[in-house]
Amino acid sequence: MIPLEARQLGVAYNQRLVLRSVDLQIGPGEAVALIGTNGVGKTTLLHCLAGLQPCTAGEVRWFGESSLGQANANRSVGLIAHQRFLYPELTPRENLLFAARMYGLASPQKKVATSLRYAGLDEWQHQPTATLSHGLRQRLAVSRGLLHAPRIALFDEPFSGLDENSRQWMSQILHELRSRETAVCFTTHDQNRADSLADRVLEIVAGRLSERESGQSGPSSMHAFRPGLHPHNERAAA
Amino acid sequence: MNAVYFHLGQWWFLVRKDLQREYRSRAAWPSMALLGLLMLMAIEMQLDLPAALSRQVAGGMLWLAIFFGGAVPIERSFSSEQADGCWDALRMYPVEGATLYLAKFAFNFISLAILSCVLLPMYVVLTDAPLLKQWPATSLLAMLTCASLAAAGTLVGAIANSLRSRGNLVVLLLLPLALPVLLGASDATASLLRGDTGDMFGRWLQLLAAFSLINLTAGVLLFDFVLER
Repeated sequence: MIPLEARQLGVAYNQRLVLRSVDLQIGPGEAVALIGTNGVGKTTLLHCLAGLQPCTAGEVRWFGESSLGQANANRSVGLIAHQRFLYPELTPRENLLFAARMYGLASPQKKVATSLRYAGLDEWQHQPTATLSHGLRQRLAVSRGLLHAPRIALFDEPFSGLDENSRQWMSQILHELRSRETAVCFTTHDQNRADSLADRVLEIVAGRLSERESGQSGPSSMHAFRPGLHPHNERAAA
Repeated sequence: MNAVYFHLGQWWFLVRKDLQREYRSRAAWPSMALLGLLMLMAIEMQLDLPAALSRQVAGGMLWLAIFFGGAVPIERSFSSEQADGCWDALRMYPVEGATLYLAKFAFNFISLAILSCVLLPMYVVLTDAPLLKQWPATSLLAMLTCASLAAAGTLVGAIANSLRSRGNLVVLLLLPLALPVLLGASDATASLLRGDTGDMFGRWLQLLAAFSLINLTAGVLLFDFVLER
C-alpha cells in the first residue's frame, strides 16, 4: 500500500490558488524533495500532507486512509516543521516524555533516554528548552517528530540554520529513515542537497508540481554517511 | 478498559503539562489575581450603600471580579499553545477532542478555584460579610460557579483561539454564556448573606450544577468540531 498519496490537491487562501491539481505519491523507503521559491506553497503542501491544513480540492491518503481515518493516520505521520512544536518552559526530556505519552508509547522513559542520547542532547536534558540554541532545538524537534517511529516523515527545511555537524546528522537521519522503509518528504532551497538526498526532486511552480530533471546521480551520494544506532533502527537491525 | 486508561493517562499528562508551564512561566496566575483584586477593590470603594442593600449587590461584585480575573488564564491556556506551533502538535497527537477539552477544563477550573481562594477572604475583609462562618456552603457555591465558568470558558477559549483576532475575545464571547451563572451565583450569595441556607439556596446550587453539567456536555460534544475549524 502506498504510504502517502495526494490526488488533485488544491489549496486556496482568500480566493488565491496556492496549490492546484497536485498529484503526488511517495512509496515506502522513498525520499522526495520539494523545491521552489519562497511563498510558492511548499509548507502549505507539507501541512496538507500532514493533515493539518484542510484542502480546498482533492484529498490526501495515508496508507489508503482518507482524512476520515485521521486518528489512525496521525500515528503514522511525523512532521518536523518550521515551528518546532516544543514547549519552551519544559526541558527537552519533559517535552519528549510528553510526546511519548500522548502517542501512548510503551516504556516511554527508555525511548526518551535513547532519543536524547542519539540527538546528543544528554547534557541539556534538564535545561528549559527556551535556553537551548537554534541547532539544539532543531535536533530536539527532530527527535520529537520521530519519537513514535512514523512510517511517513515530513520535514520542512530541515537544514536551515544548522552547522555542518548538525547537517550531517540530519542527512544521516534521512538516510536511516529510508533504510527502514519510511516514506520521506522534505522541502529545501538547497538544490545540491535535494539532488543528493532524494530519489525524486519536485518543483512547485505557480501552484503546480513538476518533476525536475537532475543531472546528478541522485541518492547514491547518501551512502557516504554511515548509518548509526538510531533508536528506530534497532528494531530493523534486530 | 485499556482505552480508558490510555485516555485517562493522556488527560493527566495534558493537565500536568499546563500546570508545569504555568508554575514555571507565571504568565497567567499573577495577572489573574491582580486583576481580580483590583476589580474587587475598585467596586467596593465605589459602593456607598446602606448595609442591607450592600449585601444584595455585594455577591454580584465578587463573582464579576472572579469572572474577569478568570478570563486571563482561560485565554492564556489556549494562546500559549500557539507558541512554536504546539497547538498543531496537539492536533497531530492521537488525542480525542473530549480528552483535550476535559484537560483544559481541569486547568481552568484549578485556576478559577485558586482565584476564588484569593478573592473570597479579601471580599470578607472588605465587606465584613459572614461568608467564612458558613464555609462549607460557600465552598460548594464557589466550586459550582468555578466549574460552570470553566466549562463554558474552555469551549469559548478554543473558539477564540481559532479566530484570527483572538485578543480579548474570550470575555466578549463568554459573557452571554456566563451571565446566567453569574446571576445564579450572585443570588445564591445574597441568600447566604441573609443566612438562608435552606430551600432557596439549595435551588440556586441546583441551577449552578445544571449549568455546569450542560456546559461540560456541550464542551465534550462540540470540541472536536471546534478543533476541525
